[in-house]
Amino acid sequence: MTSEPSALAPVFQMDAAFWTASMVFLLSYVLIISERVHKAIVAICGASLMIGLKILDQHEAFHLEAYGVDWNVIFLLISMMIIINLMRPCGIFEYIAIKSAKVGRGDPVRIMIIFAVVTAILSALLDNVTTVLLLAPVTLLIAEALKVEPIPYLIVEAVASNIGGTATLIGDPPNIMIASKAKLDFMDFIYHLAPVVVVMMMALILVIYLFFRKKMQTTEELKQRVLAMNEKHAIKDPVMLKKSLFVLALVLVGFIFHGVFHYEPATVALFGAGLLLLLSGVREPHHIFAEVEWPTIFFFIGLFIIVGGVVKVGLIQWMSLKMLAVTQGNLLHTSMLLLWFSAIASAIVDNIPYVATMNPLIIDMAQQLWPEETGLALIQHPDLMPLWWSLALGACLGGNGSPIGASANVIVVGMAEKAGHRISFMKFVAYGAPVMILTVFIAMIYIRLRYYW
Amino acid sequence: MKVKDIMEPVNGYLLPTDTLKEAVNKMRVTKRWNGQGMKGMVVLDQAGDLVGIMAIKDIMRAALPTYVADDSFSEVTWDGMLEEMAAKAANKTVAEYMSPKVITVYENDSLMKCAEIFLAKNLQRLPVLNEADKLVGVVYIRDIYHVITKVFHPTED
Repeated sequence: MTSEPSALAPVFQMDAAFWTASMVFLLSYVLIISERVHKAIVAICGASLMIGLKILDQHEAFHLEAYGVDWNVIFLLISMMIIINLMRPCGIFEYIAIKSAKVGRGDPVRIMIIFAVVTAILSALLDNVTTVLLLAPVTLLIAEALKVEPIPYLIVEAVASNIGGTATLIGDPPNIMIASKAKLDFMDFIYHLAPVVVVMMMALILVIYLFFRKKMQTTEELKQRVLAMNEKHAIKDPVMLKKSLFVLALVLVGFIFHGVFHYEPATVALFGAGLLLLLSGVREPHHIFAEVEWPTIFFFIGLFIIVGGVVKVGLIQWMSLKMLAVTQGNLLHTSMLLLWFSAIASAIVDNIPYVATMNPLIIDMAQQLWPEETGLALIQHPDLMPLWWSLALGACLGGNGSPIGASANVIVVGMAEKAGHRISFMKFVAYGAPVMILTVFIAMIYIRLRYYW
Repeated sequence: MKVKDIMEPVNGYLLPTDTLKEAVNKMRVTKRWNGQGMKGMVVLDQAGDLVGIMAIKDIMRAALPTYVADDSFSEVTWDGMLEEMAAKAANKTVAEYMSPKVITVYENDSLMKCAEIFLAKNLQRLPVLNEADKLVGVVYIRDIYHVITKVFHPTED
């Protein structure tokens, strides 16, 4: 054996720095979960404490991949937000929604299924929050036109956006973080996650059909209202729409090939953001930049540094040793535990801090298991790959378990409430939790069959 | 001249618990000096204290779904939507749709102050309070306008 850390002899010491960093980490997470202080503010304060208390120095926090901010994640998020902010006012989302309702020929259940599929696809390619934020108003309109209960539609959209977002690298923040940490590319996600997401969507459609087929009825006269709507009226800026779709297509092609040409996804997205800003003819881009969700961005920045601190002092290593002790190094058991634990944790708390913590933990576990490997051979060890996919599937799908499990759920509940349709916590759980259990169960079978056969 | 010299006495009021249907009826049957129905009314609680003001725009808002108002895709609606939404709003209460933060003036305030508020806040009517903060009247934009027309044409009435 060399001087590499082995499973029996941890390299960290439970000294003052260990306890200090662990306290900052724990306190920050408790405050984030309690929601007494905005999570972005907690993250910034926690991060500055990590540096201020000399757990990390500023160079480590700002410039080192192992302990600091993952700028790949930050720039991918910012760039995609800029592209979407420029695209949103064109009316394309509203156009797609109205067109979908017409394709569904005004039939309530058919429309619900088409909305679910459209939401899933848009959430896979863009972000979940924007998708539901722009589809929800049209959904309310269509539901009122058909005189059917809008709440099931809205919950189905939130649920479908979380499932759809699981399919791609850019679909959901946990995937962005995992991709950057494990150096996985866009096509890896398509190859490993998209097939099972398609199965999950088929299961969701079947459930919707069986459950709502009898309950959702409307009259021929009301169907005509939907069929008479002109989706073209939703398009507010056709020129900008064409430019946006062109750039979006270019970015997607870029994502597909980024692995081949050795570009990071953030580079592709930044190029798209720059190009669309240029093409848009915006003279004063202040408002476009201002609309970037800075609280989310700073939340990520702070979290990366907080987690970096506990990685450096060895708390994460301590946790990974505990996890290996529980599963006794059996990777199938570890995968299953990771999948279910991630799902339940993500239903209860924000999945972003959860994944930020689990990422280095998995890498540490890999170091314990294969001490002789380094670099890509370590983080993409064939036996480790199922763990990354289990984490991604669990963290993304767990979001469906409760109204606070994912940002899309929070948005949907808020918009419904504003429109006079209150969705109680338990009402959401009544729809979301069965879907979460069903999809995680499918994921479990998938991982078992695909990676441990 | 002060506000008290041109204000009109409180002519009818709504209760926060009134339904919009009742409110619309009160506004219709209560007549102003010129015989027209009211286009806005003060809302008083059981103790007679001013708690809000309700204008026809507030009633319109009750019939306008938030997703139409906020996302301005009013072009993609169906014929008869407004009537249908209005029917749904009939039994909502005044408390839900009144403007609860009422801008008021005092009876001894100047007409210039009144005119400035009407323009700056884009209002049609201002409740008038006395020194004890009790409602004593309402001054309308028309009343201020009337003062100006008197200046231009002093002999005509």
